[in-house]
Amino acid sequence: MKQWNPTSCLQEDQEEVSFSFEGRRLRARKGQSVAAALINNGIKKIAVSKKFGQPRGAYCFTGRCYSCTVNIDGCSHVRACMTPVQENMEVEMAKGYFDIRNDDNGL
Amino acid sequence: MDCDVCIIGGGPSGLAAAWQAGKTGLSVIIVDENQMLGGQLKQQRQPIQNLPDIFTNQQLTGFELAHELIHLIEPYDIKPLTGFSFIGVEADGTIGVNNGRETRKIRAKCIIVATGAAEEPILFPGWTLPGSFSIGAMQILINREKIVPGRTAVMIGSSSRTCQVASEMQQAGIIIAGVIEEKAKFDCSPSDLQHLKKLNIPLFAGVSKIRAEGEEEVENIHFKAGDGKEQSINTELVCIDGGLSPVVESNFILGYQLQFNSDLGNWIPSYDSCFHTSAPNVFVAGNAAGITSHGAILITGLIAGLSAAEALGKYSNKETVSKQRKKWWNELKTVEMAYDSTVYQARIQHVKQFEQLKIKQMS
Repeated sequence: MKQWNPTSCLQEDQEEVSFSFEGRRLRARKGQSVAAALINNGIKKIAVSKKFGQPRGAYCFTGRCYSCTVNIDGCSHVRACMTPVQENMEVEMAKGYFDIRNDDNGL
Repeated sequence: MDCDVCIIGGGPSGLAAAWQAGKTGLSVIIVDENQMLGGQLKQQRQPIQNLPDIFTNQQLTGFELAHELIHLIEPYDIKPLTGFSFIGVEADGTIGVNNGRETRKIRAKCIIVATGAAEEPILFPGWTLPGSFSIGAMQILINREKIVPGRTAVMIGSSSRTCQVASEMQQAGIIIAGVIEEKAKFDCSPSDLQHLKKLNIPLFAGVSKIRAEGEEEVENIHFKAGDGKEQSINTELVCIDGGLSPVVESNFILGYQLQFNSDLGNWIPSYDSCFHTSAPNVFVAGNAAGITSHGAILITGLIAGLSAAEALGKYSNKETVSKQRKKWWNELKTVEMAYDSTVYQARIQHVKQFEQLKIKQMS
């Protein structure tokens, strides 16, 4: 990353926060989104598809595709790309609502 | 909350509209889903070409333009409501916005829809794997979130945006292992193509049967190249550029009429030369009124803001307003013709069609 020098940016916050994903303690820069903080920690798979349980990650980063919904502090279906990471935030992968489409179609 | 004008979307067109309406003394609320105003400008590092005359400094990058616009609206009665999404309208016209925890009501006399555009994906087996991103997302990651999500990437698509993001990614230290395009020829300008070649990026046009593979994340991408050979590239990232389309879902709530126009990005609201839609006191601006360049996005915002102020009786002299509007339409013509003449011609056609329909309905 030698040439990389983003000059004028809107966020210059360098303060660090700590949060958890699936019980694992991780660090992030304040102001980052949860999805970006997870990617920065090497975690791209942050959700599973509701019907077939296939791996999913953040795709659009603008809050439209809903590919990155996670549970944050007990609240489900939160878009990780639109939520700023905060100190002691508990992020979990959404599990266990396969029954919402329990139609035996393919499962 | 009460206000004169409620603007949905705090990107370039929303901010330009807010500035123009706020200048006349109107109270404005800007609702934006993101935590900060500026829309997609917040991650655009490239210099913005062909800005309207109101900007004395013509050498602005996306970041700087966002700063400049936010600075411009500061002196006026313009309240940003960030982190809130527009979720509905009650029977009496009261707007509902929600931030995931609370719902607030806004009573506004005018609404300006400045919801911008969304990226379209390109669908192929494996496009949903983690590690696959839209190119806009990639720009957000490296410029706004300032992270490098992987070491190697393959770009799918070949617009000028692809070229821009590819070179930004390379500057951030990501190796571009290939740019692949399903069409027989690349979409971008010859100079952009030259630039990609100079960066030593392998280019493949006319590819088919794209598929991304990987256990839990993208690991490699396979495709049939233009010469019929099967290709496989190991990559951690896939960036998809399926183009942009206007965000017009607010139509379900606000009930304005949509019309199909392929040159402006498919379905867009019908609007007249004031950027007034078919719904009373609902205006539209920016990419939501047709995919275009930055300069044109700003000018449409200015016209919508001016027209909203006119509708609310802020100008006693009708002539001044129509003169100003004419001036901006002329500027829109210059800026948009420089970007893409078919877009401007399609826009004129679009406006004419709606105005003729209105005359017919009146008689």
